[in-house]
Amino acid sequence: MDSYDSQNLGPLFMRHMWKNVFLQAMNAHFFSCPIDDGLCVPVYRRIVSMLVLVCLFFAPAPLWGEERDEPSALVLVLPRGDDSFVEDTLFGALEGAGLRVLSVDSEILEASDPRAEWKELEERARGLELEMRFREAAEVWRDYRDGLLSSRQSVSRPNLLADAQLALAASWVESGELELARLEFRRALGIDRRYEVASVYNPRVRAFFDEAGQKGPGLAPVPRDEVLDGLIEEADVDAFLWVSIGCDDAGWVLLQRLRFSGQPEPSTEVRRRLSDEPRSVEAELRSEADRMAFEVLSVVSPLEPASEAKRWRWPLIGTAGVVAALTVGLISAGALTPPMIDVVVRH
Amino acid sequence: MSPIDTSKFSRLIRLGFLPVVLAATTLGALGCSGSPGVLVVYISSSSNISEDPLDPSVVRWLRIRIDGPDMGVVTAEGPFERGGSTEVPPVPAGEERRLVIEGLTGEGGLIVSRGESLPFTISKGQKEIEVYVGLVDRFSSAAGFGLDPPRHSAAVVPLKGSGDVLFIGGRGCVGDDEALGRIERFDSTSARLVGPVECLEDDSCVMARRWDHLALPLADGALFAGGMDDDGPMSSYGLCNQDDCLLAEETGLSRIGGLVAENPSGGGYLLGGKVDGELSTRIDRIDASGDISEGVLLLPEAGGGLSATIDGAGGLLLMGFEDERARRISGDLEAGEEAVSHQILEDATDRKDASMVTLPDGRVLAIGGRGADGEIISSIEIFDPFLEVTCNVGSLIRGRYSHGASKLRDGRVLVTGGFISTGSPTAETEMIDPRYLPQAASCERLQGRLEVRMAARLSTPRAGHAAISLQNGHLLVAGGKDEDGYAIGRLEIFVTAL
Repeated sequence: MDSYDSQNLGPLFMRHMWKNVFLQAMNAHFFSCPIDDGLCVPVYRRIVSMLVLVCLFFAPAPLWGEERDEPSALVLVLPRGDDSFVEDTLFGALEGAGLRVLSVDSEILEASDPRAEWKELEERARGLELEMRFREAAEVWRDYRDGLLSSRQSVSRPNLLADAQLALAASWVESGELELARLEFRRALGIDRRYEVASVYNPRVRAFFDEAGQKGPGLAPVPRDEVLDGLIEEADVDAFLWVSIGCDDAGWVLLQRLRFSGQPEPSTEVRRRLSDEPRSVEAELRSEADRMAFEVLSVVSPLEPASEAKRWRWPLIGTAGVVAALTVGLISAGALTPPMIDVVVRH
Repeated sequence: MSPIDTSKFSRLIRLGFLPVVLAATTLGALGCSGSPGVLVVYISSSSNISEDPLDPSVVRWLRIRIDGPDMGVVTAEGPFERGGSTEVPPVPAGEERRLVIEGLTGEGGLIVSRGESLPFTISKGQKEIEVYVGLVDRFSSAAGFGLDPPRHSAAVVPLKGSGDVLFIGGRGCVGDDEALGRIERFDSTSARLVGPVECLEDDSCVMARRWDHLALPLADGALFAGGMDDDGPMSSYGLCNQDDCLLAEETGLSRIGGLVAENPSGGGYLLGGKVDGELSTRIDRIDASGDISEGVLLLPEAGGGLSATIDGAGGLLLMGFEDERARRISGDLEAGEEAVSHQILEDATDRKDASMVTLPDGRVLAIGGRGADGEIISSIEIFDPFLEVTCNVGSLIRGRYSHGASKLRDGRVLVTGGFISTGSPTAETEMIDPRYLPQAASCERLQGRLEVRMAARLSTPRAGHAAISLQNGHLLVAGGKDEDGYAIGRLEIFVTAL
């Protein structure tokens, strides 16, 4: 008879539970073989019991592994709202390479309205526009945009950033600084490629935007390291990878900035020029995503001392795989090879 | 993100968990292939058989053979000792297994007795079967080896699926000779009648209370129809399978007596007999699933001693008409007269109460019978439906009519009983071997080529009986009348030394 107190009640319960589950699986597997049906057990029962057994073998690995041994979380932010082929490809490749990608919008930040902090600037810019003082308005809009960029919340609200960027571009149009206007508008597109120009802008501005948009999105401005550090701390992740894609005069460019937790030195931008050929772009993105993932993992994971968990995780899975394969093989062999029956003729 | 301490898990896994799981898994997997079952075979020489087929003074050696479509032949043999046992090497489980037991006079000696099972399934666990062993080339029977209660004029029909035989209805042999509503199944492996078959929704099996009715094997059972009960002719029909029977609706299948021409592909025709007191010219067709087409065709003539069979080309061969002309009907009988061809077989000897047997090559043997003036016919003719020739190929040693003629599994034909020239039924049987008859368009090559020899005697002289070849090669003889005109309830079983 087991004796237990409140401290060993848990292990005792677990032991009994495992025993019962295991015995039930065994029972379903072969203790209830009917005598006359020609097979040991009906095929469906054989499959069910096999699955139960396999689950029993594999259950510990993912349960323990997930708690202990998944790669450190990495926040990936694409400074825009849609999910086009390019982003899908990047996301898929990064996750496939072993990075755990968190959604900034839904999981990390408590959304608050960053405009409240810079409301005064926004109103002032609009006031200047009403007074047809567009150059001054543009300067104010730029301050407003920079203020958003220095806010962690703004990173999770790309449409808000795009709004500010667009207002900045419109002011440059009205003030005759068309090159600046074109640059800022394309940056707005770089933040949110599906952004639609609101009807508040006059037809001349909208026509200019239409024309400027023909050259594709620009490279979106990157938040400062302080912003990224704040996000890393708030999300309790190991690194933050900023990726954006845009066009310069020579074509498509992939811009990447990687910031690790506790990194003392400033992060650096890495630019990679992409092919104009759509089929090549996908391969290039996958390759670049693999490289980024490798870079991240080489900094985050290997620097940690090899844990106890990592030492048993792969042997466990390997052994479980062998056991499962052995089980399937033996059960299949049992199913396919008819049992030999003794025959006695009584005179 | 602080790691959790997994060292206990790790030690647990390394030291005990996986080996335990591995061992349990292996045991689990072996659970299905370990502990083989046992098949126990009991030899049933049947308490209702008079002669002991395993008389120790004669049978001293036993040989056992098991085979199946997905295995080789497993054999075992050894001295025979009453009450002992013989162990056979393990046999793979599976379906369609067949077991043969032979009793010999000694090692390498003559086969004295033999038994064969129907195809059966060997599976895990313990299973018991009973195999009837009888004296080879002999008819075996005894008092009590018959229907219970004793009765005659039952319909006898083999079941294609199980290989067993159903005895449906009949008329009491004792008392007031009334119809008995009882259906019994004969188990071919053990050569035993295994009790009544249940009549669904009809506890007293009223539907089977009939005699002089017909029964036809179907794909998954049998159909019985017509006949009489104590109140007169019956027009209902019933359907049976291995375990139970069901009465179907009233139909126009009323017919007293008559015969069945079984189609090798399933179903067949009901014809002959009497309807409303007159000889019937109506042909009813039953397809393999039991669907009925009443009166698909009317014969041009009636016959009081009709015999019929379906030849290898699908034609319906008929003999015993009032106009003494043998016929062959071919074509689509259900499509009406226009689609049917009537062929008079000019060269064929018309014979009443003859037997016709369709051989494996599609030709038909017409055996014995009697002529229009009552003379007994001993000749045997063969009809080739492909060459459309009829030739005399030999004759019976003893001319007879109302006899049985059954095709054995090895291709020979056993002629049993029947009325002979004395006017009495005979117990004599003759074995006809048509396996080596050449196919020829000219009768000269066939004349006298049929090998005929006398075979084992029936234990009871009988005529007008049923002789049914069983799937295990045995032959079951049932019914008929004895020399005093009384119906015979006793069954006889014939075992061949295949």
